[in-house]
Amino acid sequence: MTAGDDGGGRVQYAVHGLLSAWREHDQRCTEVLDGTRREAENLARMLDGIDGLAGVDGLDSLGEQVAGIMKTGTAQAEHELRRAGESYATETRALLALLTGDPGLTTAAFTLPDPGSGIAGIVATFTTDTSRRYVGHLLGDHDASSTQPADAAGTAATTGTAASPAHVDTFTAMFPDHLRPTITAMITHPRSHAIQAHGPDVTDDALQARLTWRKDPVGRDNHAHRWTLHDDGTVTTNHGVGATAGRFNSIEALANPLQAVVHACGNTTDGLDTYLNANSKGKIARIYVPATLAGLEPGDTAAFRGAGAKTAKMADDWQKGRTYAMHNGADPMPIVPTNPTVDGADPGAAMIFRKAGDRWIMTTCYPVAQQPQDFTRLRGSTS
Amino acid sequence: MTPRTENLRLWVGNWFDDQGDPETYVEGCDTAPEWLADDTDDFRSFRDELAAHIRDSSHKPLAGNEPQWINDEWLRNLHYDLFGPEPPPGDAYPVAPERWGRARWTPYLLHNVGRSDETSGEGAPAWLRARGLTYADIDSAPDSEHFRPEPDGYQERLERLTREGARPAHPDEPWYDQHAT
Repeated sequence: MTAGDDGGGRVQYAVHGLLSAWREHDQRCTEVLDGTRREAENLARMLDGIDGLAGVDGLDSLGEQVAGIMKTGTAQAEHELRRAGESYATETRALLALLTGDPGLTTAAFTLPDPGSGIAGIVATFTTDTSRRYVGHLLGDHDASSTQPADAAGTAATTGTAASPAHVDTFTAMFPDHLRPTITAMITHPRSHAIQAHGPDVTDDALQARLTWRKDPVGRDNHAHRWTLHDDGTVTTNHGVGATAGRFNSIEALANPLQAVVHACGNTTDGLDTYLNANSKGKIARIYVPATLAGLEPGDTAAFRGAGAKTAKMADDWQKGRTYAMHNGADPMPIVPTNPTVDGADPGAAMIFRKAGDRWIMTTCYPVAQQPQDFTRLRGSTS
Repeated sequence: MTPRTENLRLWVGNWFDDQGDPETYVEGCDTAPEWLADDTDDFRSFRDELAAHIRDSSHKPLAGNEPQWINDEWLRNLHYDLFGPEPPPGDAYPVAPERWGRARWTPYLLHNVGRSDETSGEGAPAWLRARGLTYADIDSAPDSEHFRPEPDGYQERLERLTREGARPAHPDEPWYDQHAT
């Protein structure tokens, strides 16, 4: 890689590709070896059952001979498969040494697993805790993972820049009459995109497209969000998203966190203003509403996450790999379905409020598996 | 000990969750020079406190049970994204200024800097100019990283800082029972 070459993310991308290939190789080994052993047994049984062979010169030991050949064949197959496994091991260890900053990884002695010994066998070939954790997280997601090609992302539906009046009605109906004009203004401001970007109209395809290729589910066409799939397979956009993309499955579920906040503020606009003013900096307030307070149920949320993106570092590495795929038109990074409300250690909703002029609006609201430490966490009551 | 103030908590919590909401993170970095000039909502105190937490390994803003070193490195990245390559005062593990952008990437670079003005966020040209970087510099080193591996002796240093009261002990740390206050 030389300066100016578009290498950013190449290592992160390659680690995913190699480990996936190794895991798939290992699964094929299991099938091949199981199949070969089964055939050898079948053949031995078959020959065993032919009575006439007994006593016929040169034929009486045929069963044994065939079994011997099959056994040798199996051992040879195993040997060849093991050599392929060795290539995967060498390459992956070199890349992981770069990623984890542990050069010893390439030189430490290791035991190659028997072909077909599964994820545990692959993980065991790595000699440091850091690398074993890294590979374990990544392969733990492998079998449930899928990929979305860029052209499928291109055809994923977008929701449009304005929230539908029906959705706005459903949302505001969750609030006391006297608050409805305030709530309407909070969710329909031009900078508000909770319903459009995290509401039930965002399809699974659109979530996958957002995560894999950073395609804006709203479909905004300005400099900040425009999305272009070029003829050479590369993708350009400035739309931002981390290693998870999620939505609420109903407008009611999306409205629940705001309802909890407003309720905790005494169901008054003044109470809400006071609370958000007290918790704001630079005209932004972010409030975390735990799932229990928001009344979020397992069926209320859905999301996709980068495969293996279970720690801050791995989430960033996954995103770096995504950048590589976008810049180079490479195959998509793998993703897994997840439900923050079910899978999260401390699930809830993150809400971002912004002061527009002299009033607070809600710019967004999205499901989260666990909250960063510095978020403002909604308690039962704000006073 | 530098206590985590509400000022720091709200600046970091409201603006700088790069995983959940890169858009606000990026906007915060683009607006930082303005906030610094006007000292908006005690932004300068926030800058100084951020530097002190990096110096003492005394803050863990990330979700989940991430090791202190990972939190330190994340805060160093945030410090660079907001204030540029000069290491925070007293940082025992400063990143060499010339590595930033070329061999060290950050959330801002990940989320907002492409290969040209057209493929970067609107604030990127000014942000890069202020840091003396061009698009050709970005990720030009093959060993580009965003977190360094934990250095030798770091755990001993953490234990000492905890013992001296410069940082709080955390339940997952071996000396927690001994030093927790």
